[in-house]
Amino acid sequence: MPESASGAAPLIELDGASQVFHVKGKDLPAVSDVSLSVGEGEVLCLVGESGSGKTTTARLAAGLAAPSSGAVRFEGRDLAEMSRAERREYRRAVQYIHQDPYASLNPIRSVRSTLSIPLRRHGLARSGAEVEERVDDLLRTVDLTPPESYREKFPHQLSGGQRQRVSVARGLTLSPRLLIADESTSMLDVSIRVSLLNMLTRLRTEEGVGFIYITHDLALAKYFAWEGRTAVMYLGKIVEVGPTPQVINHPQHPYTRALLDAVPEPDPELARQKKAGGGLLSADIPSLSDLPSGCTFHPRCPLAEDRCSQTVPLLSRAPAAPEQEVACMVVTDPRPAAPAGAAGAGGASP
Amino acid sequence: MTDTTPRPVGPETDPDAPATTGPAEAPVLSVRDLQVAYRTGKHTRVRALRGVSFDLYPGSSLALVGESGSGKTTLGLALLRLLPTLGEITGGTIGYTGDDGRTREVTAMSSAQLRRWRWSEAAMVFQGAQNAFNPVLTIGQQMAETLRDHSRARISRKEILERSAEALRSVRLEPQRVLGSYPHELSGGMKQRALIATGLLLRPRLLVLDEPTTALDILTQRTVIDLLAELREEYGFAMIFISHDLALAAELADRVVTMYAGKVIETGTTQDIFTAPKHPYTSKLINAVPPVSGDLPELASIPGAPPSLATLPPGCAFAPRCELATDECRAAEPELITLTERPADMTHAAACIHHDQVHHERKVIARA
Amino acid sequence: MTATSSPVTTATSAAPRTKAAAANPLRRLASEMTRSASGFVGLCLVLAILLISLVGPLIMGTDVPGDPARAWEPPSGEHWLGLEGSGKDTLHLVVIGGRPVLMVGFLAATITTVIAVSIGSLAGYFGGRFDALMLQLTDIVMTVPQIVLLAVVGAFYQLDSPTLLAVIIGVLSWPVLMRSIRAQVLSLKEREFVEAAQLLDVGWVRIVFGEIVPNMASYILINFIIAVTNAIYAMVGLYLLGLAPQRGTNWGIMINDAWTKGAMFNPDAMPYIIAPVTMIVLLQLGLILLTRTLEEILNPRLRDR
Repeated sequence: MPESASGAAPLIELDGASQVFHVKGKDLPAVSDVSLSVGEGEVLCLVGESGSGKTTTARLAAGLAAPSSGAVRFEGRDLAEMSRAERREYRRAVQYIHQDPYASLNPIRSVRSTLSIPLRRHGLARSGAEVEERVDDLLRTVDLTPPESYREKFPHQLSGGQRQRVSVARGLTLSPRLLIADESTSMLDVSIRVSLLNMLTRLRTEEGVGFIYITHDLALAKYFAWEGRTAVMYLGKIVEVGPTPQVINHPQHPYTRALLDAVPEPDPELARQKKAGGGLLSADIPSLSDLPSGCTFHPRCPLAEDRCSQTVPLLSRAPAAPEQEVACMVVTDPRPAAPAGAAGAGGASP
Repeated sequence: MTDTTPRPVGPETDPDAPATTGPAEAPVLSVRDLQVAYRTGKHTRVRALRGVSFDLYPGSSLALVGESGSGKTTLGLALLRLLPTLGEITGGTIGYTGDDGRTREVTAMSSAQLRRWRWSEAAMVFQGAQNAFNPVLTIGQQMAETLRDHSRARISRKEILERSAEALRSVRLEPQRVLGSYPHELSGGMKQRALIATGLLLRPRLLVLDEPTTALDILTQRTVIDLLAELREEYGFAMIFISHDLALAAELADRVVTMYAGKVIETGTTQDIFTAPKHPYTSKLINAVPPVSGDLPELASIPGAPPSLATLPPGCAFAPRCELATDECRAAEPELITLTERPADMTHAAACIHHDQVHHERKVIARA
Repeated sequence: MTATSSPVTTATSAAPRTKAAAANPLRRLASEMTRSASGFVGLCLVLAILLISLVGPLIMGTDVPGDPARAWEPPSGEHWLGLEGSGKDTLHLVVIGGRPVLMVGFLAATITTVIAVSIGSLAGYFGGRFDALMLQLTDIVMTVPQIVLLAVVGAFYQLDSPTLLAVIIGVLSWPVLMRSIRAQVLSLKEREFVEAAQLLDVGWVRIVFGEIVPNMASYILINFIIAVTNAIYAMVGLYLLGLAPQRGTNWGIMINDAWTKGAMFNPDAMPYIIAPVTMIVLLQLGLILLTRTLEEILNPRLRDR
């Protein structure tokens, strides 16, 4: 993978990571062979439907689950082989922000107690006054000002947006270098969502925090990760990845196009133009326990050819968009033409 | 039509309206000065709707937008008299005109009348389709129950089956598979579609949808949106669509009503609202929605938080969050001011005395 | 109507539920307690019996002088409840006979609750072999017949200390509570706030006892009180059946004593039987009323009905 040309190891790296769940005697490959990396101050957006494996991928990166195969590395060190001290360092550096504001805070804890426990536990603030000061700082960072009106509140006394901010503040207690934010559910008001995204962007640009951002809405990916990369996932695999502006403006994979077409436009003119139903042959995502053969997208794909049900496509450069990698034979290796030479390295053999 | 200004007028809908360019029919729904309050304590109440008026014409589609707490869900519930026990309609009228041309007052209906009216004339699909079905009955049983309970005439078993199957087919679900299924056997999107099918069983003239796609995945959401647009064309029902997502409103509605602190603060055609909003709140709300095509605009959140309905500021409720606010705004609550008059309640009106200073534009950060 | 009724009910119940969880849980508890009549009666009963049994002996002394010549004297102005078979004041015996009962009840309940909560929450949180082992242990403990075991133990050891009795009752009655605590932890540990604590690396002790267990506080409190009533029944039953040695004074011994001395057939001895029975009934009634009301207050779902 060409990411992080700087030479230093990226903050987090998934290398051929897979995660198989065993449910009722069946193997569910939630994530298969995913490789990605994020460095300091970089942003990567994971986009896909529910069931696409984006959340599981993020949980692998956050160390909340261990991969069934492949590796997850933090600054070049494999999580599975870390010493206690290294693990501790990783735990402090990488935080995951749950975005269900109603489930992620302990209902019996005040804001102050939620934020001060990790501070004390990790010795980041020793005296009571120091803890207070840090708590107030954190609340100010997430725009909960003045801090004194929020410190003593319990979750049920806060609005959804405020809870989300507390949740972010808790993620920031250990001064992490990478934040993984899961917004696969978007129950928040638009204005609140935007102010949160703007706050997270500020953390990235001013403090160099790296981000993995999970959403099903490409419009949000476009906004939050414009300067970064976007990876589109389908049934546990990355089907398209590249710089966000390219992926959004020149989508190559038919699934990316369908996702883009599905996003409602806040503009009646544009909205009327795109009423095409996304062009998909079926609205329902296949079950992980019974994956289609070949390219798993072929039963829904408007471009599907015979070979798609036989050969599994691999991520490879798209001839029309050299900055993107696409897992679609129809796009990377059009039928009538000869296999693309240098650019098509790693493409599926016909 | 007589009523093109959004200002509240009498509850009666004039049967001999002069024939103008607008539709000749009477509005399905004519809401005047509707007020709703929630009991918060023994003697305390909070006003959740503070005088809402609008007309809804047959076959048209209206989007109610606003932040949470703006009163949009309360309005949806009040229209069908489904307010929770703590809520109460404290004033105003809701006139419903059926196929027969007779106008009936919804606020005066008895519970038996309401029971007959709901589903057969006015149906609703609320957020969280996951919980809307009874988990121990099959979809078929629940559809049959709705049909039996709300049909005017007795209907046979065979007819129930036929009509349920037809409704399911119209939302592109396979009847033989879905009718015998329990709710947990269906995906979220399928349940939502089955719920819409149930809503349409009795061919209502009015369908109220509250955040029907919020819990759904983006592709499923697209399916539901497209389906609603098609069904509306096919069945010709009028639709009220409640959503915090303005982009959905842009897709589905002919007309948008923006609500803030229990009042309508702007109303107009979808085109009016999205290209030239004249209330600073609407303009800011639109600027918080990320577009997926075209240039990348800067998104700005609206400073501050929606006011608590218990302690509303005097004057314009939005004034504390508005940079155009002057002393005049804080002195008296502005009425809706008509900007472009059109028939069939398609008038563009905004409750802002500084509407001429609202220039809606999006600051572009990056070109496409 | 099925399709519409549920969203509406959820909307109704949402408002009071948030209100129910007011800022200071203790103050809220106190105010709710006084508002519900039965809860207030229960609280008063329990407090009154605690007061009589704990403070009473300090005032009246623990030594009860007896005059066998005045056996079975009926109630009088001097002796409100009359005298028992060896001429001791019945009221005085009732007052000092409460402390051991309460002691056994609360001690046994504490032991039960502590074992059940710690084993249950750890088994639920960690799962795996520890969990399986603990579940097997509960199976074994649950099959032990308490009364028979106590009788056997009583036969071999001097069961004269109520403490030992409390320990035995406590050690034998935790499995049921343990299983329900375990089940609750199984669902609570999947909640996102627990995962958030794991991410912050705050340690399992904190996660189990700082994040998860406090969320079951009301449930634990109610079950603690139920355990008190169960322990009291077990203890009184043992004394009544004569399975525990009749030493010292407590309500159970008084009933057994009345029984063995044939007080049943002596109308003058009625107060001696009725007094301890009444005290036990009132105490249990008070505790049960208390749990019912606590349950209603602490479980908003019950309260909304």
